[in-house]
Amino acid sequence: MSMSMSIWQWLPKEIITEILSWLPVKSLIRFRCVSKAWCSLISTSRFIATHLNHSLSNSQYQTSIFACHNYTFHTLLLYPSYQEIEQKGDFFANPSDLIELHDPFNHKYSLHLVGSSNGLLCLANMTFNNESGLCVLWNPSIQKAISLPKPNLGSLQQTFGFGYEPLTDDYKLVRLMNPHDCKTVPPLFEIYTLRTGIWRFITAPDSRYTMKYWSSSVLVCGALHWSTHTPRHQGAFCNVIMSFNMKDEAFGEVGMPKSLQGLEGLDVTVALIDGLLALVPCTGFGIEASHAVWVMKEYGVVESWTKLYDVRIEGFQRVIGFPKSDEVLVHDADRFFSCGPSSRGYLEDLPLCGLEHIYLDAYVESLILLNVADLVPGRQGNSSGGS
Amino acid sequence: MSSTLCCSFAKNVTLRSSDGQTFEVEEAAAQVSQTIKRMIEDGCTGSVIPVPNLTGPVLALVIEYFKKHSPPSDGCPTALLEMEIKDWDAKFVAVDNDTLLDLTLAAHYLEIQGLLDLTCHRVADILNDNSVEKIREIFHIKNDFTPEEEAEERSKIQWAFE
Repeated sequence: MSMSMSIWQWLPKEIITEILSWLPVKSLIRFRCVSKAWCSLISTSRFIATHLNHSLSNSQYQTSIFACHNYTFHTLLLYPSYQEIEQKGDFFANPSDLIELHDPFNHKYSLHLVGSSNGLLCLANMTFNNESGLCVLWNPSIQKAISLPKPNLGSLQQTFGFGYEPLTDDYKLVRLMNPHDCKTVPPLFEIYTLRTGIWRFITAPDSRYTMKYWSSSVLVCGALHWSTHTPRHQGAFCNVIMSFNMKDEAFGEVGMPKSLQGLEGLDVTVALIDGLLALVPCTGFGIEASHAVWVMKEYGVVESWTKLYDVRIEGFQRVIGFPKSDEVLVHDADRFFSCGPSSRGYLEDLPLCGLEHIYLDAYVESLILLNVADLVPGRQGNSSGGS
Repeated sequence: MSSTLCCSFAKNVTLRSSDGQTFEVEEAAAQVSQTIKRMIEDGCTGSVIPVPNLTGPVLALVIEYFKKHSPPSDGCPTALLEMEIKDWDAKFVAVDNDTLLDLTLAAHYLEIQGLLDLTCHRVADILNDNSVEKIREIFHIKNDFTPEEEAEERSKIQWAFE
């Protein structure tokens, strides 16, 4: 050891804590072996929160997660960083940069990535049965996962929403059952929070909404949002966005652009663009299909919906997300496209043909779940090496 | 430091280091430090403000930081200015370990959050690649795990050592 390194021993304890909170996750996991004091320090909620704030403020640590899942490949893929996307110009400019993350449970089931927040991924088992858990919270950067307890009701006719609620510093998973056939069966709603470690029923929204099973959701302005519409043959038809305030745990609604509200059979995807609530409606079918990208410039103000651009690709199936505000990532039966208003890029050689449940979101390495044994008594899951 | 011409409207304060060196600096710039800000608010501006924990050379460096980070007179900092400051910051902490230690302690003592973040981040980058054993040496930490405990701890996180 060089003499000049030994000077660090004179630092007060609070500064050493401050220094540690700037280290990458992998080093911190290693440094838990330094001493018992360091081990417990690195696992405290306060340290985990400070470390997360530093990582979020440092673009160097921010990446995006691009996840694919099906029955054959139980892997998630992590794309290095937004900065690199900026430099290379195209999301798939260098697919060899994708990092494979292995499913911690080696599930024989199909896992659907419901949502992610602060590096914590929420996956739901699409082949739920009484022997297997339904949902998993997984932090790939510390290689730790927990199985959530069984929900109150077993049903595959469901939709989820997942996100972080800063005021209570809690991660919440909302589950909507029978959201599709709500005309005959009243839909049920329950919530799991990481702090309580249990599922409980919550009050249903005042109005009835119909949505597809396994619809995607986005977290904007402290609320989750799903694309829904009023039940058919029950009064005037209206496309609407159902919202769920994460703090108050109350449902509400956000109006769609006036020109889209009354269109029956409209397929709308909710999305997030530069922190704004966005919609990607698809009108028409097959080669007649036409997509547009809208953003709500002022949250909650219907008049502020602004159409950004049209996306003209014949017959594509699904919008996956927006790596940049002017680049939309879409998925055809066996191809990916990344395209903007004036450009279009294809990806033919990504070795992932025929995959389902494709997901794109921001990702940051974090220590979330490191201290979770203290929070969730009787958890069922286990950490497992995936390398 | 010579006094400025009478047409300058900026109010100055004088800071004195542990070894008796005095430095004149704009009051607005010095208030980047929460400690100095409180002293000014408590009416210390009339006389010299003592900074007994910092030597002259370290205080001189900290004043350079003050000047770069004092709030701009015309309000909002531009993105270009922010980028320039970021580059300047990176160069500012690219110093030898002794100076880095002094700056870290100064930032802590004078409550300069921006500088504390900057120096701690830099120290973290230096420590990052070290082994557990080396970290114990650097910080003079006694390993209080039994060999069995440590072996078990390590086996659970084998991936972090690869």
